[in-house]
Amino acid sequence: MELRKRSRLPAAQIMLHVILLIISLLCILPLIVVISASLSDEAALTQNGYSLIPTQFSLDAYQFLFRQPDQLLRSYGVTFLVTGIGTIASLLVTSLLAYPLSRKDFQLRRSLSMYILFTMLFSGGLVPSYMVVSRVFHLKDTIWSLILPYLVIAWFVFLMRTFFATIPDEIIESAKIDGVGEYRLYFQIIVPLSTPVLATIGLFCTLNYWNDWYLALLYIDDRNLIPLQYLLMNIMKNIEVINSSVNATTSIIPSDTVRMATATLAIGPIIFVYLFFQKFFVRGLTVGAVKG
Amino acid sequence: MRKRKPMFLLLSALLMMTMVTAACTKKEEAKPSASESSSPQKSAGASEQASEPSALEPVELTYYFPGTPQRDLALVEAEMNKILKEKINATIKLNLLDWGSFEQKMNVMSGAGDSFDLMFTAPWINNYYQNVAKGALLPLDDLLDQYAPKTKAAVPQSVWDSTKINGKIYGSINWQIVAMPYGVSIRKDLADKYKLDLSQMTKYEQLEPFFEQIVQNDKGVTPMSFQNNYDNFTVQAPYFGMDTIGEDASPGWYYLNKPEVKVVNQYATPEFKQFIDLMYQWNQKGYIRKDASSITDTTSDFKAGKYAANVGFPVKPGAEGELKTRYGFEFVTKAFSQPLITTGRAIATMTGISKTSKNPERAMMFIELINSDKDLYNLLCHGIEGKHYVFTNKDKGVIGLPEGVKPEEVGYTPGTDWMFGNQFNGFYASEADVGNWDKTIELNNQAVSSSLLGFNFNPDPVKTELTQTASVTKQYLSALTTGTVDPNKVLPTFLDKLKAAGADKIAAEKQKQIDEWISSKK
Repeated sequence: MELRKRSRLPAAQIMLHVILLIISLLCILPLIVVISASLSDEAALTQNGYSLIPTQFSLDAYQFLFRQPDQLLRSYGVTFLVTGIGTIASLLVTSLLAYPLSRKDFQLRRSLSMYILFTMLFSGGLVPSYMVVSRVFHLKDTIWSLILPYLVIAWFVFLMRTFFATIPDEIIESAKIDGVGEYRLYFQIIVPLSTPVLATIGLFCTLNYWNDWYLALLYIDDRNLIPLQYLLMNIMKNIEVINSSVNATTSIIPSDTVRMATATLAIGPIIFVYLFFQKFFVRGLTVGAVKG
Repeated sequence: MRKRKPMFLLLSALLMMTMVTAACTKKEEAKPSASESSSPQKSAGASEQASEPSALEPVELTYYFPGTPQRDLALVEAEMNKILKEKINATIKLNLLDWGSFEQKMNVMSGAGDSFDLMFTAPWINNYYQNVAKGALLPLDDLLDQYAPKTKAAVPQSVWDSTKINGKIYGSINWQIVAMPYGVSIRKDLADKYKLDLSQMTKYEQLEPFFEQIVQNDKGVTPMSFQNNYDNFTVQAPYFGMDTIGEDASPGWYYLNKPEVKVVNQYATPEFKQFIDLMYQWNQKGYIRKDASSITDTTSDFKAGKYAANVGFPVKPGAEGELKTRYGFEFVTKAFSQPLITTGRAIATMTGISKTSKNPERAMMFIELINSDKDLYNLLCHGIEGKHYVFTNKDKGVIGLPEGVKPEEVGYTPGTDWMFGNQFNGFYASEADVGNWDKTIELNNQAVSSSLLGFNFNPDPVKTELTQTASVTKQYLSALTTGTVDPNKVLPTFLDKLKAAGADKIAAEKQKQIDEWISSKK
């Protein structure tokens, strides 16, 4: 029995590796095709189709996108700023809200949870939230309109609360006996114990802010405050319109290669965030898995 | 558990309160705008004063329209304001929103009751019907008569009538081509090579020998292009002697040459059968790409010279020039259908005044100016002379790029003159276009009006059926019109499924609304 099991194991593992290899190839290959297409010549791309290595190397698409580099760089700046401030602020506020909810000695636990749950089930809708942001807080055309609406997301609060609840009460109790105040308890004991959940939710928030164009669509008219994704989305949409209703004064614009180049630009920096979060991320996957 | 109940009560009470207050504030907001809409009558004296701008209070108007970002928008705005200040003592704030965000942004803004004056509206973007239904647009009848006589006079009454909803005009027409004949555009080099004589042709069938020659002799060229979001049957209903009602591809068209408007399912007509039979033959012979029904954009293939002809092509004056710039090849065109004015085409581009406008009279004066003042109109369309364009032939009004400037370096080329006002006041983009405006006006005048011009189909009663038939149509139609599948096998299935999805009910509803509309006209 023992022998048979041992001899089987490598075969199973090879199978597993092959499967994983295929899956990762399926994930990586499209990405490479996109990058390759973005570096191709538009006409060559139409003639020969997509390939892993550009058949005719050309930087036309990037040249087109960087025609007005100031706007693109500004938008990168806006997105970095919003993502940075947003993620940190969002983590802080979310965890400070989730932590008390996990404490059994907190009296308003139930009602506050209900209140948060309520926003998950019923939302105010588009027009009322627009009115709140633009009329009540007067955030239109400010950077805050890109940050504040996503500051607290109910789902993340519950995810964090569940994690905090797995921290044994005894730790909190013993810390209290040692004479630690609430703030010190939170920042020096709870936070270091919660890096997996903070990293997971941090990644979610980062992606959330990085990928967002919707808030900009609603609240931003000032071209100086346009975030990257919104800019790229508009560039794509505008190319479509220009190419379909061309008149004599506009020149023709490469469309397929530019589409790929915008995708490359959009995912560029955020890919590195994954590497940074990766070590926490694997642990984070099990967050909330124990207690539902 | 006991604790939870009062919480629920509290929350629901809170919710109700917010609802009530929201309703209240809405009412309060509605009041001033209602009084504004009646103010034209009050300020009737203002029209006499219009010639004396100093008598008018200075106001700022805001104008929202879609487009691509223009670097020098502010400069153009300043120039326009010089004219506007002098003529109507107003300034304009041009708010150009990107194509991709215009629709949603306008939706939210009018939903939230933001204050602004003018907006671009059409059935295809920033939906005109929905805007009227929401009460976002101001009725313009009195304002047009009082402040915009020239604009009103330039457009035929029948076209004004087609904007009417419940008897009122809510959008000012940007006058341009309203009658479009459909036909074919063919690459000139290939047409010349095979000595194709288009002038004698009246039907697509006659192109067959020409297509055969291409398949035989020109490797890599597909005779006929097809784009699956532009289906060759639906776009050119008049070619088949019919016209659409409501959503073009929805079941229920009517025959143009019959005295009574009788709604029929167009997919069950002999014309449709004949057309898809032809397409099937052509596909078998290789005139159409085998994968045609999955192609969404043919632009780059046209540029690469992979197609010879475009069937179901809108043949308007100046189309050849546009094709040349778009694809880099010379084209010849021939219309196969008669030009027809339909409601959708007549109101394809309009300028509306927002219900929240604080100065609807002045907004209407702006509409009058942009439609009648050539300087103002061309400023908005083409920018500033010398900076964004130069005259290549001033007498004929032909403009070109300033010397040494590349097209992409120009700071202001919105390229959407059809969006702003009377297009026939515009400059020509090239020498070859000279006279096209007159030709277009002639085309408009000669065109037959659809007997349903002015009728607007209300899809609400058959919404479910429309969605269901739309998904059936989506599944089968492009396969049939590209000839990918054998009509004899697939058409019966398609018709059965359409029937099951409620095609008959839609046709009946269309018929009912049309009958009501006709009897209300009498």
